[in-house]
Amino acid sequence: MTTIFGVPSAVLYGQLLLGLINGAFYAMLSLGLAVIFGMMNIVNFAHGAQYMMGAMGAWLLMNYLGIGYWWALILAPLIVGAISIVIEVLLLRRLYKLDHLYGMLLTFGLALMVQGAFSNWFGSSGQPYSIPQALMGGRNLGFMFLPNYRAWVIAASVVICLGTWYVIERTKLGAYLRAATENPMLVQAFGIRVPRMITLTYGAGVGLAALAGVLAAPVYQVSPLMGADLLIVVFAVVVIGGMGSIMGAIVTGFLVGVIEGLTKAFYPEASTTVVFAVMAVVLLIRPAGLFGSKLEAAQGQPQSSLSATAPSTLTQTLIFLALACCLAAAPLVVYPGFMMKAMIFALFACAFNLVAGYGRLVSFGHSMFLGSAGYVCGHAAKIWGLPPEFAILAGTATAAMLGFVTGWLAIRRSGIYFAMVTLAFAQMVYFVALQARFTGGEDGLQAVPRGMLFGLIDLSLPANLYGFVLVIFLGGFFLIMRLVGSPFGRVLKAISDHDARAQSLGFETARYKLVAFVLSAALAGLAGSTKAIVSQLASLTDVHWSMSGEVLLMTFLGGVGTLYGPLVGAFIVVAMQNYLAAFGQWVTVIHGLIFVLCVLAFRRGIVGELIEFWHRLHRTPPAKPAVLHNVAVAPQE
Amino acid sequence: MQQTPSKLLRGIAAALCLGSFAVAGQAAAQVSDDVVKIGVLTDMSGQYSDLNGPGSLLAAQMAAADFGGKVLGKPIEIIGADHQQKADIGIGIARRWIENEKVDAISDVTNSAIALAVQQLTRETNRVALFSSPGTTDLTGKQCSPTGFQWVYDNYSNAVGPMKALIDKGNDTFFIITADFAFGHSLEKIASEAIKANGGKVLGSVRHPFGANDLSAFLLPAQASKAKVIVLATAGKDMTTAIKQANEFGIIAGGQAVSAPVVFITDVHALGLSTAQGISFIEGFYWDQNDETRAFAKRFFEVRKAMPTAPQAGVYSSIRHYLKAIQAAGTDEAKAVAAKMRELPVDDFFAKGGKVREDGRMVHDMLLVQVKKPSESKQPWDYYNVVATVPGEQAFQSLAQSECPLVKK
Amino acid sequence: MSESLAVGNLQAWYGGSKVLHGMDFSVRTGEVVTLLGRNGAGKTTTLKSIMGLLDKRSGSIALDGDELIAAAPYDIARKGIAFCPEERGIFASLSVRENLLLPPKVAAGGMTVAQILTLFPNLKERLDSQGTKLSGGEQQMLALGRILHTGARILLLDEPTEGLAPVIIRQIGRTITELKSLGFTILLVEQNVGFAAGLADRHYIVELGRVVEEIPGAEFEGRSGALKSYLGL
Repeated sequence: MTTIFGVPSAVLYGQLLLGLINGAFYAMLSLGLAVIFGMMNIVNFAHGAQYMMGAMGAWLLMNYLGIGYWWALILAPLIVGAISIVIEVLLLRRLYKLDHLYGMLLTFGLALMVQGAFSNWFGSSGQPYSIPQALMGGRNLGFMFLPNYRAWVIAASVVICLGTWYVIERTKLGAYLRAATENPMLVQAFGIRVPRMITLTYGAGVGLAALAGVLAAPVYQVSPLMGADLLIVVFAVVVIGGMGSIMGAIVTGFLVGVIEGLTKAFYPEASTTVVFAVMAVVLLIRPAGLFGSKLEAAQGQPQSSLSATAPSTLTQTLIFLALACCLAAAPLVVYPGFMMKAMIFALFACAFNLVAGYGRLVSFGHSMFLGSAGYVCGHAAKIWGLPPEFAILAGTATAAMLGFVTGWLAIRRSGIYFAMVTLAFAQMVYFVALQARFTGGEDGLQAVPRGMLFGLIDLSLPANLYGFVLVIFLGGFFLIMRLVGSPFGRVLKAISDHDARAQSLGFETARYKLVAFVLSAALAGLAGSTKAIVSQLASLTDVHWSMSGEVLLMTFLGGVGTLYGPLVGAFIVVAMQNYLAAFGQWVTVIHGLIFVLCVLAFRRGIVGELIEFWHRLHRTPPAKPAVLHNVAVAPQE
Repeated sequence: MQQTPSKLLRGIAAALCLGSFAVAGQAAAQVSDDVVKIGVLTDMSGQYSDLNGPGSLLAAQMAAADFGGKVLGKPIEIIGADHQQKADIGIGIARRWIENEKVDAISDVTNSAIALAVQQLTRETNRVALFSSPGTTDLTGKQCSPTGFQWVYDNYSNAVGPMKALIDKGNDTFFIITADFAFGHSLEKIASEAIKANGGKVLGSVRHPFGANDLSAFLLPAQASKAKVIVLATAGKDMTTAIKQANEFGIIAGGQAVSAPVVFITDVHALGLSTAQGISFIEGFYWDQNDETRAFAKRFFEVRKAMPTAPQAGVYSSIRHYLKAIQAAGTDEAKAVAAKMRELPVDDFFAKGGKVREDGRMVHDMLLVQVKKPSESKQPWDYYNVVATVPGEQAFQSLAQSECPLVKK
Repeated sequence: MSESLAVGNLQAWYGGSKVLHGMDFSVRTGEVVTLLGRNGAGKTTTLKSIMGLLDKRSGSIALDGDELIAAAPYDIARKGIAFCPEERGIFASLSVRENLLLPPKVAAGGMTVAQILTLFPNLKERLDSQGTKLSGGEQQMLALGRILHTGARILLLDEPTEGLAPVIIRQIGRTITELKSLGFTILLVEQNVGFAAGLADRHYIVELGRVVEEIPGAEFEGRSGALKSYLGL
């Protein structure tokens, strides 16, 4: 048996071929995403859920109506496409004039709702779907045995992708689409109903995802979460290929599949990370992607000015003291375990808000700071035997360093690209955590000792532990409060409003943004380290991208850009998790519903809306809402 | 006047005795928080929800009801929760149960990693843990606890026998595909050791992410290694996916045997007899074994519409035994109850002549079963031919081999 | 001649700021009418309002009696009004041919491709080039050509001569004269007063979102003084 670099050639070719099959799915899904982003400037976070709905649809058709695979290939995409058209008309349409972020959040919320609902109805372990009779069996290619169905998948996806490319690049309809992507208003002025075209395009893009789902059902089995982790990879593919490039999405999809296959042959542990490493590199060298052209669209736009005048220092201090008293007294009425968890997440959310709210850099990767700090702190306390204060310091320092490295690379971009870079880094951290010995992988780092604080205070006593967490939280919060009100904070706001203008005033904006990012990372790390000590566990959940989604939810719900918003949001979300735990996956559905409602109706978040209400009552001039708008085209004449 | 002092003395002595009996009686019949609360921590919605999940909760409720709903005059309460296979959620629930909700014992725990954490927690807080499904042998080995018990099977009982049987038939080269978490690692280690101990060779191994939908990339090196046996050190959906895809990729047709040490009746149900026929493995319980098992199964089926699995039956048996031990000990204090659990024999439909050892291992006879051909099966769930009974002492690791610090050597 | 387009008290807003404060003017069938004025006076906004491209409008825009004030751009286009924007709006992701054929036919009697290429011979060799690879003048011709293809009879032209060389400007002038002779109705926005002088039947002067003067074509020379003050020449 010949070997190539130590790997038997049979295995190598086999993995490449399997990689090509995976690539087929990446290509179809990223094609749908690219079409939707190109036309509507919406990052369709529901794409994974819609892929799953296609697969589920096929399974439901088979199990309840006896309708087989071949019909499902046509029916499932039609049904899912129709549902998505309804969503576009009712919900998405309202968001086109706003910042991309809202489209992302809404579709993210919808995805949570759909995935949660399906998990409840069908359980999360999935349903079997058999390969259609006509495609069973396979043939021996010499270096591996290729099942017929998998060969069909490659062939079908190539045909579908090329067909879609042809329609877009070579037909009149495609010309309308491309023109409307560039200048929708002008195309309307020519007599084309652009809104209807957008709706149908969304339906088509989603239909493509659902079709991929039907193709996937016999291979990957049908489960409610099958699209969730796949989606992150597909985003990476779209970013590598270039947002808005159709051919780029197709080619990159297959390419990434092959690269992953190659990695699996030589160094399997890295196969899940490699796509994110590639994405990070591409983003830094060729930000528009290998084939892309829509850099400006995805960068952040200059924003309308930010929110409320800050209350006076006296008011702030009073509120803060009142808060401290409430929190100190809380364990008398509320289960202290809950309070501690809520405070830790509140600190995490406040740290996130520092860059996302005040700095307008919405990061999708903050879980990497929470989680990595937790692992390092836990390891320091358990294996190195450090007392808690040094263990927490170690964790916080780790997060700060990670924040420096990732921040330095990430802040060169803004808007969606910034979010994607942070997501890429977070995914890399996740997969390192999954593989590394010291983290314990799926089992987690367990039995982290609580230890003796300063050698004097025994943290295994509940009262001591609570006081400890309280002090950390109040300290972190106070730091953020003073920072935001300081000259540094004001410069940060100015930069987030309009980077170029701030630069023209002489500020080195990159440096300010980096400092803010590192501080945010460090404080998130502080929260993560404390979490490891309190729960005596550091696990993969803390580094998973859904944790980044949670902190986004908390901040958004409470009020992005407000001081107390993240705190309120964190308490509500943690309370929901605790007290609705009996409802299992319905909590996910509720989270999703909150996202959707916030985007549609409560963009300022709870605290933000309260502040607005207060202003209206007192008839002081209302603050410009902390809402992100595209700057209207400057009036011509 | 000589009698008065003795009468007085006798009176005082009697009073003292009565008093002390009263006090002793109070102390003896003492149940913490006036309730015996058992929490069933399991996977309600994921990979193992059919194997355990709501069925485990039902088994627990049946055990409490059959015991009369009360012990030592206090009510028995059964609660359940879904740990979603996540360590932090599972530990969070267990901790809240113990710290805030007066739970006295935790049952089931369908995940080896979570089980190890629960073992630690119950050891520290002096509560009882009745593990019915996790496979890791560390629970009765390095991480054993005076109040922690492994009831149904473990990776040793699942793996060692089958490995030896395979080698005896001349299959001496192996490739292992492992689920990448505590359960899988433990199973892989035991299987490898058993293989080597019996003169076989492990040609290679690969770890797959827990819950992966597509195992083709891991079957590929297994196929290329040309090992005579591919061992699936994994369970539940991952295992059934692997078997299906092994068929899809022509591995079985190509002559390699696929051995799955950890198979349950729900897996056979999911695979279907035509795919699963002929596979043999060790099981802890089969509903169709005798009249007693059938009676239990019938009651269970009426509610769940599925036959009970070994872990679910184990939940019933372990809780029943726990309640008996509380009765005998006169208290629900963990160490006292644990002592009684080790003292009393386990004798119910699940295990005849079963015994709880110092290391927490409940030793009972296991069954070597083979999946029936479709033609042999008369009704749904009629899936096994019981080939042999493996006596407890042979099936499980001996005390001498145990690494448990509680075992006196 | 009947009134084709009648605009009455047209007001318009970009977001929160009001740009048109009540435009009143009309264009008769077959006429060439110009809107003249300084930068920021509201000329382009007026054209965009007629096409329905602005957020908020009020007042009246009547086409042969049909009220268009609340109509959507695509409906307005289908009534036979075509718009040639100031920045030309040539699509980069389309070839010249695709650009030319993009706007759908809104009425019968539009120019054929052959006729358009006769009018603008430069485009003939460039049909398969990418749209934006053309020179400014060629792009302007393309922009004009494609709306001629649609069959629209009322053309709104926004500063067609901006940034172009004198020889091209003269060519465009000749084109507009030819279109007039073919019976098109043209509403022209221009800053190039000399260009407008020769072409139009009537001129309106727009200042601060209102029409402040109407000058018949014949009187143009004579009123140059007034023009100077309004336009700051």
